[in-house]
Amino acid sequence: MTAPLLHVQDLVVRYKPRGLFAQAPPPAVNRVSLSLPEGATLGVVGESGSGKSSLLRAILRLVPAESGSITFGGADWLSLRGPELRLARQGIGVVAQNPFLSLSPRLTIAQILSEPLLARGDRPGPDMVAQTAALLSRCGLPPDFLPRRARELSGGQAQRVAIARALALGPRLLVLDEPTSALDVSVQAQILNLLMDLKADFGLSMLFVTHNLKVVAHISDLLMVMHQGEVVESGRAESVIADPAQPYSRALMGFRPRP
Amino acid sequence: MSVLRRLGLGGSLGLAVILTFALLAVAAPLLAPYPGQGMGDPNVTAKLTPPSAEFWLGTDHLGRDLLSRVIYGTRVSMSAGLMIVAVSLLVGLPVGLLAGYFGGWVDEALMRVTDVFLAFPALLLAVLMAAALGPGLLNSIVAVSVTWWPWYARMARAEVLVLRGQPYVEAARLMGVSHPRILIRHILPGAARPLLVQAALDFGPALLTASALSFLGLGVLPPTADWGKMVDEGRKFFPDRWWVSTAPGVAIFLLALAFSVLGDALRGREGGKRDDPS
Repeated sequence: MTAPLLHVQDLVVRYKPRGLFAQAPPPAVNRVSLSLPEGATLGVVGESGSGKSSLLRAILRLVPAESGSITFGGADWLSLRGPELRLARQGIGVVAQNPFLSLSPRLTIAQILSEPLLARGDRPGPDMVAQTAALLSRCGLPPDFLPRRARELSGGQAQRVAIARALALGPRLLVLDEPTSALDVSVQAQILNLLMDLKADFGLSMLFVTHNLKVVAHISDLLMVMHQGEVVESGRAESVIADPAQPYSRALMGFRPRP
Repeated sequence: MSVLRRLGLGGSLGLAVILTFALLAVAAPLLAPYPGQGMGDPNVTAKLTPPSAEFWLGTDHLGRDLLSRVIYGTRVSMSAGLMIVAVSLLVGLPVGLLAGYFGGWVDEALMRVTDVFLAFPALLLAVLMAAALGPGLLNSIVAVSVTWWPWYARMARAEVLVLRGQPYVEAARLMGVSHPRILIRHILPGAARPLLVQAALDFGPALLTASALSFLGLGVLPPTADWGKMVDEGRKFFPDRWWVSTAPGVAIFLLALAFSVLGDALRGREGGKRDDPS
């Protein structure tokens, strides 16, 4: 078996105490381990406050990890600093929950999609326009969206733009933080189908965080259930869904408690 | 005229007054009845004459036509106000951006320096600076700017602190966009608008402070016409020859009021409007 693309070992994330004499809060993420093989999709499920977002933010290096280790592509991910981290981050595409917040209100779609290309060092010009148009059409939007701004789009369209941006640099890993929670149910399905297509086409690995089990069951190979900062259950998606072992997962999946 | 409708009656009037003064400043040699006197030539045969058909606003102690002096003074006052606000923005905005964006010791260092400047009463510090630098228009602009920029630094910092946590700024970081580019491309456009509104509001007070400095004899050198200085000169003849101080005084009052009203109109329309993505 080859080394996993993303490997997290005993990760602990703890936020700072609020006041000077306040007690340190319990860890938001407590000794969580996970492995994401190349090309696989791992769904992380949990209700609000389960630590799934903190786990994600720690993996994205937006909050510091208290202890534990993360390797991405075989390299130590937590030791990267400054410009190294900046470049390494381009190997991960991120789609956030609300596209209207994650797309700059002042830039056109063309500018938004050019931004990662410019960050990589590409030169602006006709090539870049063609590239952004291609990204957009791959995500199901025609090129006449390029001069528009995010606020003129519907939620589903805006989320397609966000996905196109996440794919711009050909990432090895796509991280999705509740990507469908802000959308209508019918649009959710369209976005999920788009993600499945993209996964099939590019062999993308995905880390998919959501509180909505129906969404994640549809798309995941592996599933991990989090509760109060800890992993309650993990395994192949079908088996976790079909026969959750832990009471918490059972409740989350809508099973009645065992008699 | 959608701009005027958005400004409302007061704002439109303010804008009209400002544009009138701007026109006076630009076209002073054409509009002043006695351009030579406006620039300082004495006219000893007509000392301190009251307003008349010949001298609409009267003449000063050197017999110079006050209307021409006021028109030429517009140039000094407008450029002083503009320069003070521009220099202060140019210093304060980058300081606030850096402090707010990088946080930590950068923030501490920059904001403590800013606090030192804020600790002094503004006019006192300006007077000290102007006295140290010596009189002159440029020096008085520098002196007032020194007391002015910290406010912009604070405002810019506060705006950045809000914007820095926005998901779209975070998204830029996650794409590997460099710090300078995030600041300039993703944060500055959002932070700049409320600051520009504030700058428009501050134009009037800046102009007043500059006039106060020249009233105290720390501004422009004679024979250049300057409103603050003219009020000071007229003080000796007040109230018997009231028109000498009144003409420039009313000009200061009108222009400062116009900026204040326009700024209020701008703030009402734009200032409270942050990025509202929904």
